Amino acid sequence: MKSYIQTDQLSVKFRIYKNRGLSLKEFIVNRMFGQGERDRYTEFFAVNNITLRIDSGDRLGIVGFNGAGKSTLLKTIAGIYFPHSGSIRINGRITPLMELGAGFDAEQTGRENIFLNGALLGFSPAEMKKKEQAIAEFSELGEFLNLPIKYYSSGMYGRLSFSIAAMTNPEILIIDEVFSTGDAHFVEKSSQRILQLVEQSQIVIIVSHNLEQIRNLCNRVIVMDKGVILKDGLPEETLGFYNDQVIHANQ
Amino acid sequence: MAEESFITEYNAEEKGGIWSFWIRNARELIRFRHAIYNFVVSNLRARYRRSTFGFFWSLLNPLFTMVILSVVFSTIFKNSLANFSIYIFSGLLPWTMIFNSILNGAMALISAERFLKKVYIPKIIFPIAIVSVEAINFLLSLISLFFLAIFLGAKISWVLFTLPLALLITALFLLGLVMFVSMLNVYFRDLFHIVQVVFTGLFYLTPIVYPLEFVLNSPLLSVVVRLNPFLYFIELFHSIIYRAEIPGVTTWGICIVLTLTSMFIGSLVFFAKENDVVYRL
Repeated sequence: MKSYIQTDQLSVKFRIYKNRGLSLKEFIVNRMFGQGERDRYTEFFAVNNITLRIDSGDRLGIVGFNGAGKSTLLKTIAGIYFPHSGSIRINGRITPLMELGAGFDAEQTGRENIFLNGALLGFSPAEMKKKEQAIAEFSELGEFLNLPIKYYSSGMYGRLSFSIAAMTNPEILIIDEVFSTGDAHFVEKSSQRILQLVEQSQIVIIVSHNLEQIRNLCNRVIVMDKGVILKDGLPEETLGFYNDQVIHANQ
Repeated sequence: MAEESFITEYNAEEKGGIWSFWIRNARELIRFRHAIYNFVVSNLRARYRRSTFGFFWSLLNPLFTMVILSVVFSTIFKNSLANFSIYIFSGLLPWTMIFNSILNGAMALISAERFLKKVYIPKIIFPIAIVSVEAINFLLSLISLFFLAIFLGAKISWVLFTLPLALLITALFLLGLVMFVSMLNVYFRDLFHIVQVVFTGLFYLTPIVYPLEFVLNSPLLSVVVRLNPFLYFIELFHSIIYRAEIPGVTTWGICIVLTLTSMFIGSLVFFAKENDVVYRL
């Protein structure tokens, strides 16, 4: 099976609220006096009308300034955000390596969270049982695995997160700046493993501000700004284009 | 799993009806069945973790409540204590399930924020997990308290075989309600507090600590009590456990109509907003 991702005129917009929750009283009062809800927020497009085809074999790097819409695009592909217009079609199983501790329950032990996280990735307890040993070993968390993860340090969170994702044979791997987790030893070990994962996966999408890393891992790079794709192509030319932008912004 | 090929599609332009939503969600529920199982088990475990009596609280808690209520209200109504405690027990357990489902259900999506904003997960999982946990707790309490009920003189009959059906209908009714309140509460955060007050009041509008006949004398009260939808669900359990009779056709009928209505409204509200909710948490 060949994986692919196809987005068609994809848009995602966010509202910035002046005052978050609306109470029932406010809602009724607003309605009665014709004061629109619209006065209370401003909207902007985090992803604006993006049509993008990603095929099996693509190692796609996404670069851009903060707030360019890179992470929103990743989260939309991962199914966390539903598009406001346009569509997205994905063939293949997605393994997200996005936020540390995503899909963890703080009250459960590390070991229990392996199963929870596996379940969220679509694996049965029996399948996770087979991977449990490897995950435990890779994470080097030892006895800590029997502790509720609310007692974990952020480094330990990162180790567990990464170790689970690393054992799941991804078809589509989505990475959002999670390389530097844990101590120097684990960073080295996880960088090695990421290379293997990139090798195994059909599609890899990486968001990073580390251009060196993008250059090493990717065979295609897009530059995003204000929710649109400015440039799409081979790493040399697009990264050159992005560098010019950075220099321009610094002036 | 790795050999399986699946295509996922998110299309903002495609608006389906309730049926297409349920079909899509049913498919997702099968895919995420292990996650539901995990949520239910960990919730049950967390409830009793670190307490000395552990699981026995699911027995002791309703037991003490029942004893207190029985002593107080059998004195007020001058009923026989033994008989009245079975009455209270058969109404109080389903009420606890109703009350906890709605109250925890109101917070179901809000407290799932850490999942909803970080991983893909079908939202319907959270209302389902809440109602399942409460239904299981009901069963656990029921089974353990039943020994006491027998001791007090409850009749054991084959009528009890209709209990699973009554539980299923009640759980589905609650699922619809929980879908409704969990979604609405994201948009109007005051709702949680309103629900809390309303249900404390409803407890006294439902014949649990007093017999139904008690309110039938007053024409106003009997109308008000009959308008309370929970009356009919509690009646199922009174009938099966307390009177050892199969509930009447009218009671079943009213419960089924109420369940269909709540599921319809719950689905309508839930599916209309499920894609928007992550932007509002």
